[in-house]
Parts: sequence; C-alpha cells; structure tokens
Amino acid sequence: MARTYSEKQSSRTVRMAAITLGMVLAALAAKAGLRALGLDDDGWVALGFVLAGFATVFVFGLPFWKGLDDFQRQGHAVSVYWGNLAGLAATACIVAAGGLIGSEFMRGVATLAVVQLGCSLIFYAHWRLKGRGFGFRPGE
Amino acid sequence: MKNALRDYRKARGLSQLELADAVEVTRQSIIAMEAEKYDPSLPMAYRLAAYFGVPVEELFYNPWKASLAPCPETDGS
Repeated sequence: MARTYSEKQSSRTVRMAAITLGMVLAALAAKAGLRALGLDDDGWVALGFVLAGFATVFVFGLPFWKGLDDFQRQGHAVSVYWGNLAGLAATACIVAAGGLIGSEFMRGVATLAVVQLGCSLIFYAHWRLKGRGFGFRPGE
Repeated sequence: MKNALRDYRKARGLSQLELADAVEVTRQSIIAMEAEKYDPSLPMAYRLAAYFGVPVEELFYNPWKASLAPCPETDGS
C-alpha cells in the first residue's frame, strides 16, 4: 500500500520517539536490576545505553533528516543552533549563580561546550566545502 | 514572497495536506508559504509549479521584475 509523505514522516517520528523512550526505559530497568542485585557499576551501564542510544539516533536520524523538506530542515537547524546557544548561556548563569566555578559540574559543561563547538565547526566546514563543490563534482 | 499558492490550491479543491502529500513536503511548509512567511527553495518552487502546470512566476511573483533593470544584452563577442 502506497503511503503518503505525511504518513511516512509521522511513522518516522513515532519510531524515533518510541526508540528513545524504549532506550530510556531499558536503561532504567537495567539500573533497577543492578540495584536489586546489590551491584554498583559506576555508571557504565548508563553510559552504554547512552552510546547505544546515540548510535540508534544517528542510524534512524539520517533517513529522518533526508526525508525532511527545506522548511523543516531550516526549523531544526535554527532551533538546534539557538537552542544550544541559549542552553549554554543558561548553564553559564547556573554556574555563576551557584558558585560552581572549578567544580566537577563546570568541567563537564566545559567538555560538552568544547566538543560541541568542535563538531559544529567540522560540520560547518563540510557544508562550506560542499557549497563550493569541493570533491562533489566529477572531474574536479 | 507574494504568491498565488492558496488560489491555485483552492481552485483545484485540494486541502493543504493533500497538496503537501502530492509534492512531498510537510503541511507546515504549505501553511508558511501561503502565509508568505517562508520563501521556498528553487527546487520546491519548481516542484509546486510543475504540479500545477504553470511557470514558477505565475505561482511566485517576481518582486524584482518591475524595479530591477535587466542586464544589458551583448553581442556575445
């Protein structure tokens, strides 16, 4: 049965949400199981689920992104860009208000900010090069 | 950008969702274009024009046509 574009997009969105929710529930269940057994994993199980979750998001996120039209992509790009900046600004305020400079929390925030900036620059460089046709036109 | 998208859609008795599905864009895109809050990309404009069987400029008005002096023609040498 041929499905419409909107049905396909809805299906992709529901699948993404279900996978995310499933991963979170599985992680919580695993944590509860470890606690019931009296085992302390130092957060490795949670980290494993986070890594598996991101791998899943990338695998399913690519067809989702490719299926979006220009308008939707623009919406995602704008909201992620400004949302991330606003999130970092809010976090800086929390650090300042809570006197958390030099704390472990601050180091986590700094790591996240630097890595996010680095990844953003890589993707931006790729986008710029692609816009110039670098390596994407046969014979050049 | 001013356009006649809503007129063409209504003239063919289509809902926004039906048009969106026909040209494989989201309904939000159709809403934004009809409200003249979003300028479509060239491929999207061509897709819509092809669907309605009209030139792009009949669907999306060219605001520069009246105000911008066209490039002078040369003899090609």
